[in-house]
Amino acid sequence: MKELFASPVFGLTGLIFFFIFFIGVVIWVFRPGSKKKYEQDAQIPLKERNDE
Amino acid sequence: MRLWGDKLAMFTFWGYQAFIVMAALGYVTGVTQSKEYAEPEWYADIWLTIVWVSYLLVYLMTCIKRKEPHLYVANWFYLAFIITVAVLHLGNNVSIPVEFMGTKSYSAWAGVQSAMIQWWYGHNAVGFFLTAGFLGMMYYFIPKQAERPVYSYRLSIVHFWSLIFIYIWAGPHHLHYTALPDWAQTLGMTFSIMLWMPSWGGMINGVMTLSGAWHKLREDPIIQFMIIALAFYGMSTFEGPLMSIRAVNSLSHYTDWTIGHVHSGALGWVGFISFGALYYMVPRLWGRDRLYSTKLVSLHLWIATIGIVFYIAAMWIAGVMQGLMWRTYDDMGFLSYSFVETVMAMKPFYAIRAMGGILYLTGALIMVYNFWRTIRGDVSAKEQRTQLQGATA
Repeated sequence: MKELFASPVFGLTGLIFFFIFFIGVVIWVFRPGSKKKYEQDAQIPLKERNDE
Repeated sequence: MRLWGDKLAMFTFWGYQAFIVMAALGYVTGVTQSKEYAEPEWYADIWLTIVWVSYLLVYLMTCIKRKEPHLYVANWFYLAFIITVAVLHLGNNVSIPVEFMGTKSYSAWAGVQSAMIQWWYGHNAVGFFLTAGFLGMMYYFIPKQAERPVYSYRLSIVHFWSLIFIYIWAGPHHLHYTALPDWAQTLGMTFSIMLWMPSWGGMINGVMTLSGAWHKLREDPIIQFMIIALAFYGMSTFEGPLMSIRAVNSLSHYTDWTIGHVHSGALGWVGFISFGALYYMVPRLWGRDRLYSTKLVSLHLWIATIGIVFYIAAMWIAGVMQGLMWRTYDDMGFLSYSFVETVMAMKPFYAIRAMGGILYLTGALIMVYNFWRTIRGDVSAKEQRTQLQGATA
């Protein structure tokens, strides 16, 4: 375990993984058709619902 | 929709109060782990873990049984806050009790690793409790009070992921010029500077929610509370990365500049967004049409804002002065000032600081009075007049 954490490959793998994940998120939020969906999602707190 | 698990929610509330009592009793009786942060002994830590798991359960189950297909972004911030604080608490508090009937324990971490774990905890308690948690409140209460959707939902998602990915690495900036390896200090500093982006992105997203309805900022003191909260958020998240730069830190570290920085965040951001949320919630929770007095909200706002400005300006001056006095040498290479001289020089600024604090507290007491009258169902004379004018206009 100790050797695994100390290896430079471990850190680099983490960096690449998180970096790609983040870029993926950014691309995902700009996917076609997302604009309309996000406009609807932004309305969620403004909907008044009294259905306990 | 109702919160899941009424009894468990009640347990979370009273359990947390009990934890605070346990922690405070530990402080006054000397039963602590003698650390800079999070020093209650193992029995309090274990109790908090149980309470926190019940909190997570209540929150998670409420999210799971929601009727809305999409989980609104405010909940993401809240979940990140609850989960990360749990991880930090468990990581930081690994310790071995050493007495059979006593409370003494030793931390599993030692030396520079212990310092690093402590500031990994400490900085992320700020990042995920006082930032992510309160950003969750911001993303809900600003749209509610402004009656407008958040400026950009897309930006809120990018804000979320960039904030949580970057914040977790910033802790080492608390350990500049220590035994912590240079590469780790530089890493903490670099990630702190990167935090400018999500912090300001989030601030702009909140402020721009009023875009097209700026008149609300002029008319509604509750909106003013929320927007000034964001202004303080923007200011203290600008100042923080600046102070994390190693050269700046050599002046600011261990001085009252740090105290000023923390209080612009705590009193300005965390306090004001909470006041805004409370002013929104109290009339609704007690089924009142309006607050007792909007004018008193405005009074609270200005007294508290002036209080913070006094407080942080005094701490800036005291801190920079303190830092400069500590590093002043004479021709022979001796320190020019003894420690007690730096303390004496700070006296007037401590008086200003105390005055700022009193103003802030006075504002909060005005709020309590306003709530008390609101809950009783009173409406001030001025409020009734404006209501009548609104009806006849």
